[in-house]
Amino acid sequence: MANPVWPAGVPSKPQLSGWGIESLAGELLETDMQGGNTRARRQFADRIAVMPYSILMSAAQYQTFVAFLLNDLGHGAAEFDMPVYTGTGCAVRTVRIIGGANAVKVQAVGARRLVSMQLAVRSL
Amino acid sequence: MVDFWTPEYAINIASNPKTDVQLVTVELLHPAFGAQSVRVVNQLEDKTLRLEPGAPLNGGQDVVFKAVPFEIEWPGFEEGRPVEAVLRVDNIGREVSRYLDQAETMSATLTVIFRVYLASDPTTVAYGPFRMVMREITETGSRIEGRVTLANPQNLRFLRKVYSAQEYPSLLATS
Repeated sequence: MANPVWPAGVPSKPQLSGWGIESLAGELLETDMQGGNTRARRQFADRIAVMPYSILMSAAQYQTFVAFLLNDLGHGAAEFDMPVYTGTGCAVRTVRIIGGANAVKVQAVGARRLVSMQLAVRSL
Repeated sequence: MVDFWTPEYAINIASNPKTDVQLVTVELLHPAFGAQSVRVVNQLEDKTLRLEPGAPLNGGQDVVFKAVPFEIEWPGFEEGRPVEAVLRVDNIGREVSRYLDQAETMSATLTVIFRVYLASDPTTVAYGPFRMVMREITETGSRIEGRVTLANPQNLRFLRKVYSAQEYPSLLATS
């Protein structure tokens, strides 16, 4: 089944102030001892990056986003495709909102809405 | 004794290469599942891997292992008990759970096949396959947990030969 696609009328560009990459790939299997040389073994063949993401939306765009989040994504449980800022440019990636709608934060910035969330991005 | 691993796997274990990854897989089999099994790989995306020719289902074929998280505790050693390991499979996607009700209706063991592949060679089982039996299964909304064990020799009946009068008439004659 194809993934839902980020709604066309809603901006996907993040606010640079709220953008970052918290991790680029999954955990390594690492030495669990108190001291000595720490060693590591790669566990995963694929990568999922964690990215804080804040988007500024108009009230109408915010409404579209909420409908997409609640209905198309099942309260944020589903993965979807959206253009994400990779650090050098924008590219379409499969993402999931970590924690779903439960973890999405919204603030009023004048008449607009600042939507903040954490994305789990496949193959960033 | 035949090794259960390939030379490539032994090199991978010993040298910890930066470019290769072990793909740990589990296959669950039960007669109630019909001509299918539950195949999961402990990775982030689904993997297409080739089963060994002698596999119970789809032997020698390329099959999809679903990316479902699971964990296996190392087996412990206790006196008077068979060697057991605890296997926990994520139950969010209900990949296993949907079959468990069917499995309950039939008195047969749930077989677990453990295989490790190397990402550099998805066509060869690098470690295994190991066939085990899963027992004492508990299910919650987010996980399925069971005890995985090898065939239990303690439960085998010793002296299984039945000395019948038909087969050994002289036993009766002397008594």
